[in-house]
Amino acid sequence: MIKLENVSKVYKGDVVALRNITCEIQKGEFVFLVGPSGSGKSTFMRLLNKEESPDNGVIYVAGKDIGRLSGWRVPFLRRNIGCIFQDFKLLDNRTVSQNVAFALEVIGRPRHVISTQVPAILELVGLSKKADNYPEELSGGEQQRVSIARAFVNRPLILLADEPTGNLDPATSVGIMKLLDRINKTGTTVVMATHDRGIVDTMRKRVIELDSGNLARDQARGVYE
Amino acid sequence: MNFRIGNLFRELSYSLRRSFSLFVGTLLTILISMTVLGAGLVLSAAVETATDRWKDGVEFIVFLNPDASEAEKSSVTNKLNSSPEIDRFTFVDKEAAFVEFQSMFRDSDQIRESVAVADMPPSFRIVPESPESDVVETLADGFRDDPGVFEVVAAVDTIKDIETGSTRINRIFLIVGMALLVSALLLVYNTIRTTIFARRREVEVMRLVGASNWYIRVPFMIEGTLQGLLGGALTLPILQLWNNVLSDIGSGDGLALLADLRAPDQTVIMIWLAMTALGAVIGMVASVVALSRFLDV
Ligand SMILES: Nc1ncnc2c1ncn2[C@@H]1O[C@H](COP(=O)(O)OP(=O)(O)OP(=O)(O)O)[C@@H](O)[C@H]1O
Ligand SMILES: [Mg+2]
Repeated sequence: MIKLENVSKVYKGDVVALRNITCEIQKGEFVFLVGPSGSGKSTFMRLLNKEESPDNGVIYVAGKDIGRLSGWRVPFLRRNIGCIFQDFKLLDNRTVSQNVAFALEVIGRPRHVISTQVPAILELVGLSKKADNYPEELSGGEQQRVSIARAFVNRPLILLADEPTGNLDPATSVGIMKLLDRINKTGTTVVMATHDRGIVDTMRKRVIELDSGNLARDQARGVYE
Repeated sequence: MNFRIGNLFRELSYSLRRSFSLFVGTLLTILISMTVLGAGLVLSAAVETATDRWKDGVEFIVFLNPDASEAEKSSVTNKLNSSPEIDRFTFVDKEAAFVEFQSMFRDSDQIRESVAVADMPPSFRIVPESPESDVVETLADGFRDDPGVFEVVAAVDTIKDIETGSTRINRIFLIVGMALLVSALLLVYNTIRTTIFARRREVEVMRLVGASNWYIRVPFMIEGTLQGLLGGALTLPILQLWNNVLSDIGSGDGLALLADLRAPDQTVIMIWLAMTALGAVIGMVASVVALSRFLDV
């Protein structure tokens, strides 16, 4: 599903964010990306949906070399990749269901599809009752569920989660992880960057550790350290 | 490209409500700059109509009586042909004079309907060798008392003053209009930049979920183009008013020196359409530039 071959990324000012990374992630895998702050986790994710381009190496997503993707095709790549973040990135002038519907509207999904998919996905994340609330009326955990619903409503092949529990307390984080696990069980490949030792150690999924841009460890059923 | 008009309208009304005063300010600036440019064009069209008889070097006109005989006409023709000081001349018969009159007064039915072909004086339009005004005056006086001559009118300095004066005024209108145009362009650019900034969250999410570049860009472009288009379109009543003002200032005397100082209605419409199109182009260009600078999709 995802394959990196000798990928390097250098930001301007000679900051080496990733150095010669080679790894492969199979369809349906759940992978934790760990490593200290500044080790290149977010950069790794941004390369996958072509928000950034590597300076060296080749990246395959769903069998395609995304470096050869022309500009107008990038949106189609992104429709296959859902993203969630520490800060949720919800639109506060829209309700929960409008936030989720937005993701479908802007890629031109027909209205009848939207009106069935949105309630279904809100049901999945357990927010049917809050459909008409605004983000500011929700707890952090609920907001993250909305952002997961938005990322997943289009049934992407891959879900990228950059520290999704970074702003949440442990109990709420467990709920979010259960949700991500369920999504992973539907066949979606999940890549999650995290600093949360507890989560990594209890889930026992594959762990890829980065250190100053180097691939330091790649361990099946791994732990945080 | 999948695109729904309903969504588009919602996006537009969002951004309108968010920055209404900015939108109105920009619109007004475009309106003013388009008005100044358009007014200059209307003025020059009006002057051209008013001085229509005096183009191509015609310096004086000998009008014959509407009922002048063939003999009277050919005696004037012979005199013109034999004078070494006359370069060339043309004869305008009753019918042609009628057509000219109708077009000079095309906007006032009353005047047009009050005359018939038979009432029109035929005339000679004369280009002398020298355009010096005393030479022209002397030449013109030589025809005043000939049989069958109704009136002799010389392109005295008034006409020349009007022509050079209007050219000068026009240049000022053009320069001021251009300066305003540049500020209109910058304002649209800044409005779009502000809108992009206000909507950066939406744009970020749209990119993440895979909205196409055009889907993201088009609402901004429409906003800019719409401002320009509206600003240009709203000039119509102002240009018409201006044309009326001109016409009040320079009411013509019909036969002789000047026709009405007034651009034909169709010309005003053409100028208005040009201003509307120009406004739309400016709005579009400004928003495209703003998008390419501030929206990296
Ligand atoms: N847009 C950018 N321009 C320049 N340098 C950047 C940019 N983004 C990241 N970097 C640098 O690249 C390195 C890797 O950053 P990255 O954000 O990938 O780390 P991270 O592992 O996600 O860190 P954290 O755990 O704090 O989120 C850092 O040194 C960072 O300063
Ligand atoms: Mg990061």
